[in-house]
Amino acid sequence: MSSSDDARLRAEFDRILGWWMDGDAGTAARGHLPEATPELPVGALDDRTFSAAAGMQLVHALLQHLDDREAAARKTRIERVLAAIHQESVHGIEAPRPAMVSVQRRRHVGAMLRWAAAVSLLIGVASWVYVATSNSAIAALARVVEAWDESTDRTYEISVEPSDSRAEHKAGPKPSRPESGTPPPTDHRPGLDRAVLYVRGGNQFVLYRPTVKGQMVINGSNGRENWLVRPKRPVLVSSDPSDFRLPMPESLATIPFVDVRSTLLDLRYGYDIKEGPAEPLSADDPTQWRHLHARKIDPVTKGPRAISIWFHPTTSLIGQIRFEQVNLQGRQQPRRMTISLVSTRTLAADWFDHGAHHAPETTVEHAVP
Amino acid sequence: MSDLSPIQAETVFEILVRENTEMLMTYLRAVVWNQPVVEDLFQETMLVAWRRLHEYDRTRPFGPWLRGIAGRLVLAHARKSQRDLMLCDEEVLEHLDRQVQRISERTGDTWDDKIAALRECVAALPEPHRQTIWMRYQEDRTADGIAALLDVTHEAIKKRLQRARALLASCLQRKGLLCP
Repeated sequence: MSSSDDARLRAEFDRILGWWMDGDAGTAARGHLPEATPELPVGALDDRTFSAAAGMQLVHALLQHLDDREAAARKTRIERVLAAIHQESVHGIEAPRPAMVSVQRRRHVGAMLRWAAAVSLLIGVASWVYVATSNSAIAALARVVEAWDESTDRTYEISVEPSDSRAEHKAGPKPSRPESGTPPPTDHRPGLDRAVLYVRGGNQFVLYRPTVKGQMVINGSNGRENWLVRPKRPVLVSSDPSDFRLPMPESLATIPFVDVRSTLLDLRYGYDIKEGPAEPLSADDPTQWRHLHARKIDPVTKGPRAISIWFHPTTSLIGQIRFEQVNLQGRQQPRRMTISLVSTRTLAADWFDHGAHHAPETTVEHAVP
Repeated sequence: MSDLSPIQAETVFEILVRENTEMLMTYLRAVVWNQPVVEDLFQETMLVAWRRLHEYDRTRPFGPWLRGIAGRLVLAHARKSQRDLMLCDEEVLEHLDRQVQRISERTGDTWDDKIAALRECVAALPEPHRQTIWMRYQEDRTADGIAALLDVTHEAIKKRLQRARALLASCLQRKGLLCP
């Protein structure tokens, strides 16, 4: 190759690099430029040119670290990976791939408003069982509620299993019938079993729920907007919390989660609550978690027959909540639902915004108030 | 890594993810211009690494192993859709791997520490070039957007960016960040 050919090739090569690096490729990809991707005569390039290309492309890559938003994006990126591997590690579920969510333009905002936040269950529960039992139990619950409001980031896992009424308080509900004759659920909607719940403060949450196909449906709220991310469908967003209904058992779905204190006042009757001996949550758990057991005494009161709460002896952080005899959608027999703390790791600053859980180009539809 | 319990493996992997995120993003951004595709390949690389963690030889550095996975995913993506990628074939990936490894081996606790020379080189650019690079990368504007803002032609901005990157490459070579 002559030196003039070489110079022409380098010039063309630089032009194409600029086309990729400075926004033209993106503009063309969005259909705003008629020109197709330029053809680079790769076969004519020698090793020196490949090396120069790698160098220039690396400079371009390094320069992207100058972006002010990079630090926040980095944290979100890491949290996404960790959430995905945790799902795989614990449940063997193939992790969601938010950036692969395909973009579809559809207008079914109303449908999403039937879904809402599991977090309200956790936030509301402390107030639910706040009944006139003993001063020490009431004081303990009050501390649990305060800890809930003040705590920073927490990650919980949800499990659902057949109720074992024998394990309940002796004055609890009658044993349920075995489910041997019950057909398996045909509901393909995401369930709560194996769901993962991320919580920040008193009103921010993200709930990952697996479907039977191993995909993920993600509910969340940043305290200002509630949102729903579903595979291959638009992201749905609403700023009106009252639009939402919980993806929770119907009997638990009425708990307001915005104003915990008011809820405390409204729901102070209906349960008898006692504090039991402190205990570890697993065989290798060094913490002796304080334990409250609440049993429904008013049949008119909505809610599960019994609720157990384990909370940290010093911080009052909820380590586990177990609901006995709750009726789940698609299940004929009552179930036991357990919500267990798995981590208090600080999550990315934008983890509770919908944007952290789907590809940037995914359509976002806002509910009209 | 097969001798670790699941919890230990998850903890070890979390540390490796945190240590290698910027390196991997740099590697991917050097061959993929389309940012959503970069994010997707990043996630996919980390998940494949997690699934194959038992194959990782702890006596060897993690970065090259991770880039090996990423490189294979990039080439697989290229076979499906070339339009998201810049110049990307096995030779370019080999050059990149060497360059990124060179940066990884520099002193510094964080990736930012290791590439501190970049900010020095940007600061040393002639003013029009420095301003254009800043608007392109720190403010994430396209060449079109910068041209409109500075009231110069699109082609002038593209040439300025091209020249600025060439100056930066030379500066980074002098400072030992890039291979000559």
